[in-house]
Amino acid sequence: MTMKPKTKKTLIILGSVLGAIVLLPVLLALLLISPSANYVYMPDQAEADSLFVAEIVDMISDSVVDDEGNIPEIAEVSIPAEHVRALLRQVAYHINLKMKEDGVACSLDWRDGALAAECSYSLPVSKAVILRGAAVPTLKYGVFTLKTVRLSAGRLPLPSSIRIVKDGITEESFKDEEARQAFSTVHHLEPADDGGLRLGVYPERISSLIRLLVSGD
Amino acid sequence: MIRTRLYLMAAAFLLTAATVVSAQDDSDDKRPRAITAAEQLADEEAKKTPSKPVETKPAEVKTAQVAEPAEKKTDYRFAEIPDQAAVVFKLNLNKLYSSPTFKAVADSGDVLAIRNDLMQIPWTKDGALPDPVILYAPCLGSSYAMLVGIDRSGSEIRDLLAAKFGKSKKVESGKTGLGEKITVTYDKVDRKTKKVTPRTEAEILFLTGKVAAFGRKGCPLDLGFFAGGKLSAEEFAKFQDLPDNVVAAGVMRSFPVAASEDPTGLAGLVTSGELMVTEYAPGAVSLVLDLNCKNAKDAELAARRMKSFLRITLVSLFAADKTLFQELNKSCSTSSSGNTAKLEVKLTKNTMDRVRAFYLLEKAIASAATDVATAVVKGVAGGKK
Repeated sequence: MTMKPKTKKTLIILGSVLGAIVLLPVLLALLLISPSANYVYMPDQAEADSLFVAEIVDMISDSVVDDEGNIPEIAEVSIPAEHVRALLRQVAYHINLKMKEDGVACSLDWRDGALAAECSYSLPVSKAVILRGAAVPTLKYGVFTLKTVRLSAGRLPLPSSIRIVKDGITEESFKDEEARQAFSTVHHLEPADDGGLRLGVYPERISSLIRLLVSGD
Repeated sequence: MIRTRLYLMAAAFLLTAATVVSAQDDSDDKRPRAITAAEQLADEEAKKTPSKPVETKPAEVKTAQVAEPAEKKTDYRFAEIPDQAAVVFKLNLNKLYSSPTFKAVADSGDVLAIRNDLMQIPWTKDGALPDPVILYAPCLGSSYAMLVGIDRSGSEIRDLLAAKFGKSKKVESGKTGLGEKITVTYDKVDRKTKKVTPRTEAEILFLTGKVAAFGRKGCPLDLGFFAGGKLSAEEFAKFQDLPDNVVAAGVMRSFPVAASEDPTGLAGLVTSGELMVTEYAPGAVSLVLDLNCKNAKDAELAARRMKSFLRITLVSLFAADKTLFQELNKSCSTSSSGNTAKLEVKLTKNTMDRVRAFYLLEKAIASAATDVATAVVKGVAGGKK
């Protein structure tokens, strides 16, 4: 018994479509799902980072009072890349402590004047979806912009022309109280030419920053 | 939470330095009976022995305190301070609240919470509040307690508390290996689910006939805290024989937070330390903080870290009054000598009067802003109707 060519063609198309429907999610899952990431913060690293963070406090302290003992309107601070990395590792450590129960973990880094982040969303059976990205943060005239330069989910590259713009430090733009407080201290923020971070802070609002530093449990 | 509280207490020490008693100040505010009684006692004693201003150079302050111990007003003994405490300090609460100068600041800080919690319990027969000795375990262990002097028995305090709270709170007592313990609990009802959960309001552990440990809401006593030995004879003597002009004093056996949790950058540098806040002349205050480090290099770095943290703290508190900030900034100095880093703050009566005025003004502005905001909200709500 032979099949009519038309029927055969229809079956091939139908089979391909069905195959694609079944295979595509599998392929997508293979691209997206990776082994779970474990971002360990070693005690030695934590101790070394705390010294860098203390040096950032020194830099801020030097900038909020000039040589004559006056407080400038805006204090300019230039933080070297190494110090920014140490600070971000500490921030990531605290985020991971808070988000552990939700199965979310992240690592933060500072490379070539951009914030590099890796976020892992845990799935059952020791698997996870890992988002990786890099973005350049700037804050000017009260507008915070995060311009992505690289973005991927697992092994799947995503369009990287995403811009997150927060216009003004308001309750609507920053739901998180701590983030709002931290940003209200900052007048401007941008990557420095030497690969570090340049920021201007309002000395009069610096208590928010202190509050944030001492309550980061 | 504990770490926050610790730093706030450190800030409170600095504020203490800026707000000590002005003996000439008149107060017409209505204070709780406990404080009034303590003041009356203090006033009576002051009449008997007129205070002489101690004029010493900054470096001589500690020597003068040891050489001339002032007359003690109580015979409380804090004999049970355990080895587990990383930081121990005595707060001269009654002195801090004996003038409106300090009250303006203390009422806006953590000291008020301590005072309010202590006022819940009838510690003494004359109604005076005890000056607490506050213990902090290493912060990652998340534990702290207050030791207070008492002149009432456990059963007396239990009966008074039971009469005070009636049916609203449950007062229970029991025996522990360390002594009698009173627990005050209340039932918290969830508004949505109506589920009733018992919560601890206060815990009191009677360590000796004259000393009780006090754990309060959200910070119950950790009995393991008291399982160890006692404070060394030398350290114990510091708290027993503090002169009257000491506003706060503390010893630190180890830095109470892990390096990764410490924005001051001192955790990895400091091995032990001592703090003394004194009224060195009427209305004038001196603060001396000595931090012992592993070596001279660490001591130098610790002095730098203290300078940074202090400067940022002063900017954050006093940036609105730049002249006052400059005055305070000049009054603080950090130095290192050998393995010790030192912070010295010396404030004249004039500077402290300005600090007080600044705080009262800030408070008035905050209060006025709240009033305006309330009026606006009411106005908007009224308009909507």
